[in-house]
Amino acid sequence: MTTTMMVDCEYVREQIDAWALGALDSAETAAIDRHLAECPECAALAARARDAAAMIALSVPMTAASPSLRRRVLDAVGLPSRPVPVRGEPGDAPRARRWWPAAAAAVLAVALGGIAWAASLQSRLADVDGRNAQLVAVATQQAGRIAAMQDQVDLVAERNAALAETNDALVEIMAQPDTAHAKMFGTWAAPGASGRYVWSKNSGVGVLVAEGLPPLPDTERYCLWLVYQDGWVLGGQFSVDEQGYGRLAVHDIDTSGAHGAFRWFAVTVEPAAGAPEHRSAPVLLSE
Amino acid sequence: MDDAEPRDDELMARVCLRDIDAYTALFDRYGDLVFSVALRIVGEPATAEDVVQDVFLRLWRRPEQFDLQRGRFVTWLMSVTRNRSIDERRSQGRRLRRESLPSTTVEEEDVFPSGDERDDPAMAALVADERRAVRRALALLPAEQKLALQLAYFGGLTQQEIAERLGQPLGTVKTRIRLGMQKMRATLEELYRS
Repeated sequence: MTTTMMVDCEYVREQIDAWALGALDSAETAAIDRHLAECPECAALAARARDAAAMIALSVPMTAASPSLRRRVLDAVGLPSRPVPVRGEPGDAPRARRWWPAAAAAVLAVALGGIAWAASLQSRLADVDGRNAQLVAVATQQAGRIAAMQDQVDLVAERNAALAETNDALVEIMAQPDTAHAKMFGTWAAPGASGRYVWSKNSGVGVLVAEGLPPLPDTERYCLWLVYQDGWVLGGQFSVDEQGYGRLAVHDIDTSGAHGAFRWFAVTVEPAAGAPEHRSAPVLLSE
Repeated sequence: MDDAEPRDDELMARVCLRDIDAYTALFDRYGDLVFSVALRIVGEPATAEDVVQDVFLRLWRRPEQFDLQRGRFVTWLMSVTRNRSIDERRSQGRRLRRESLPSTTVEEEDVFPSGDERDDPAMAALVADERRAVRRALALLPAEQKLALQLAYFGGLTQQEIAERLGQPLGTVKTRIRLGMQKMRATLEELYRS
């Protein structure tokens, strides 16, 4: 024995959209069908719901059926496939309608193929460009590193040359009987600095050894001055390493007395460019 | 619509009189749409073509089933197409296979695409505006309501099956379907008025 499901108008109104969508089980669908057969008001609601549900079908993306389908459909009902004279001259417009979709589809396919191919090329080109950009970036980075290393090599070579020069100068000075030296101290501008100046009047050579001087930017240099009563005479320019250590060999010291009596040695910070002039306060002074 | 184009109901009236040209005109007008709907539901072009053939064969053999008093031709045709496609899907077991795919989001995008699409020129003047209106109405729905409508209409699932698939209470699914359909109708009416 089976139980027949019975529904009322309220239930039908609640479920009529689901009924129109085919989303009810068979028992519910059958119950509503029975009710609709006997209730004109609910049947009117059902017709509207069914139309609305059917509209959802119109939302699908359009896909062209194969050209052979038309032939197949007409064959299935035993009809010859021929142009449809629904308006205008028989054959003209209908024929245009018949081939147009296929031709449009073909053109569209070719166009889409071309677009896809172009897009593929564009994508590959962008990929290559991207890789090139990466390589350029890496190369630029490496070039920068190489340049920095070269600068470092140049600096070391410069320092080695200075060391070699000052070593030779020290050997020459120490070989003289009139070797003299002066201790130097840092001023308020470089309180942690110290130094020693060694020289020989006989050889006209002197060597400055400085420690604790602040490293300078490339735009500045340390300058050793021989301070006389009548003026400052440049002994030479030098730089210091990261630890503030620097050496300078001074040749051809003027011992003629043309600048008056010698007073002391001084080290100042001056611009690297142009002829050195005494412009700033000393950072190192001899005692 | 062009005045020279016969209306759908006029063509159907002629089909009832075994007018070959009217029948062919209806196919040229709606063949691609029927195929597209069938393809959306059954998922295979060959099977979708079988559905198209069955639908138009039925239209030729039993044109009296279309009752002008009960609604428009296109909605009747869509109902016939949808029901035939769901039957085909169920009979071949595709339903279970497709439901097992964890691709509800993809399917949702597929059902309610946002971009423009090709319209068959023979059909464009007749239902192109309606297609745009429907897509817009559906696009305005909350995602969960759209998904419920999709699974019911194109997936052939009952409310209970939708609830199980989404892991949602049955009452929630019923509400989503009811509200979704109400909103869609309201939007369409508003669009038609404007």
